[in-house]
Amino acid sequence: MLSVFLRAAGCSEYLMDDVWQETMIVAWEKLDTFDRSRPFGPWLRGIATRVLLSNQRTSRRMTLIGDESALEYLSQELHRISQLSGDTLDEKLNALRDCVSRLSDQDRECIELRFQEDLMPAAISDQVGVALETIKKRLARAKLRLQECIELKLRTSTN
Amino acid sequence: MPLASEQKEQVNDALIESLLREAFQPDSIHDAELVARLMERLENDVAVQLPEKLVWYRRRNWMGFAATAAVILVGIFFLNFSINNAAYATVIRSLTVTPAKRFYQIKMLQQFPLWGERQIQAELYLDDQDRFVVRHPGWAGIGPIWIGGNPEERWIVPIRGPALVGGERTVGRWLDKKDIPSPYLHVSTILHRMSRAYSLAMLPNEKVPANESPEQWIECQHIRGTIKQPKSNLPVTIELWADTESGVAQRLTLIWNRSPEERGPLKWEIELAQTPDLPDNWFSPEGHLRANSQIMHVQSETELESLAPADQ
Repeated sequence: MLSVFLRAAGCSEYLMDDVWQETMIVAWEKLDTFDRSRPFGPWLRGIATRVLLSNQRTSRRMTLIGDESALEYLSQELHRISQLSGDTLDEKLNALRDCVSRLSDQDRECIELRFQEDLMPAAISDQVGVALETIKKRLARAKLRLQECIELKLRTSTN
Repeated sequence: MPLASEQKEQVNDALIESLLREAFQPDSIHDAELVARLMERLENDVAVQLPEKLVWYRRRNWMGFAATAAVILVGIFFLNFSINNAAYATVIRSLTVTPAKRFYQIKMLQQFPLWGERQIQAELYLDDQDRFVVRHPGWAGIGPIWIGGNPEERWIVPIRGPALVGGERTVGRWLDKKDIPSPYLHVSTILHRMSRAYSLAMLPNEKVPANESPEQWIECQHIRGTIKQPKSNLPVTIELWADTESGVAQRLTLIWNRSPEERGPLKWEIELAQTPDLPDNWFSPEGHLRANSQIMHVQSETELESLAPADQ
C-alpha cells in the first residue's frame, strides 16, 4: 500500500526505493509514538508525506502531485480503498480487476496494454491501429469508469 | 484547506493509475529486495535500536534473515507479500547475488518461416552495476553485433556505421524486429519475469559442470517456472539452476511454444562460463567501437532505422 501511495503521489521511480526505505526507518524509530488505537496506514503515509515533501525540496527529480493537503487527501482515499474486502492488498485489488473485466472490450484492451504490457499511449495507438487521441480518450474514460466502479464497491461493502 | 475539485480529480486519476499498476504488475520480488535492504540498513545503522528479537536473527544467514525480516515487517508494517516458497526464495537469491563480473554462453535456437531453424551462439557479460553486453553473431552470420546497456539506456555497435545509443524501449523494439528479443538479454530481467509471471516449482537438486573446471560439478537448486498466462512473445517455461552455496544462476533454459509457421525464438540455453579478463570500458559502446567510428544518440525508432545498416 505504501508503494501505491508513493507512486500516486508522484514520487519518481528513481527515488521510490529511497523514499520507501526512509519512511520505514523513520516509522521504525517513531514506532513508540504510534497510537495503537488508530489505523496504522494513515500514520505511515503521514510519515511518507513528510519524507516526500522533504525530498521535493532537495531533488529536482521529485515533482509531487500537490501540496501537503493533496497528499493528505490521497492518503484518505487510500484508507477508503483499504476498506475493500480482502486481507492483503492483492486481494483488495481483485475488486479493481473485476471492474476492469466489466469495461467495454475497447476500453479494457487499452487499460491492459497500458498497465499490463506497460505500453505508452503512442505504442498502444501503433498496436491497435487507432489514432493517438482516441487512445488517450479511451484511457481517460476507462479510468473514470473504474473510479465509479470502485466507488460503488466501496459503498456496497460499507453498507 | 479543502481541495479544489480539479485537484481531487488529478489525485484520483493518479491513485487509479497507481492501483492499476499494482494490480497488473505486482512486483513482489522487488518488495522482498526492499525489505532485505531495509533490514540490512537497520542492522548496520547504529542509530537505530533493534528490538531484541531482531538482534537474535542476525545470527542467521542473509536469506533466512531477509525472509524472517519480511515476516516481522509484514506483522508490523502490514506489508503485502510473503516469502513462503523455497522456489521463490531461490529466484530472489539468484537475483540479489551479483558477482562483480559474469560471463554466460547462450545457445539461441530461432525459427524462421522459410529458412527453418537456425542456432547461433551468443555471449552475455554482466556486471554488478546492472550493466550487460551481448555479442550476437547475427542470424545471417555476417558478423558480430554488440548490444549493451544499463537500466536506463541501450546501445548497439553494428557491423558497419556508428554505434547507436538510445532508450531501452526504442532500441528494444528495433532489436525485436531483428529477432533478438531484448527483454531476455539480461539474467536479472529473466529472473524478475520468472518471479512475476510464472508458477514456480522446486525440482530435485541437480549437478552441473563447474565453469572453471568441467570435471568438477556444482550442486544446484533446480526451479521450473511455467507461464501463468501464455503470450506469444514469452517463453512457456523458464528453468533455473542456481548454485546451492552461492545462489549464483549457473544455467537458465527458456523454451517458447511456436507453431511451425511462426517466426521467433524456440529455445535459449544460458550457461555460466569462466569470465575472461575484460577491459575497463567493456560495458560501454567505446569498448567495442571500430577505429574512426562514432557514437550517435537516437531519440526514436525511425531515427534508429535510418542510421543502422539495413542488413542487421
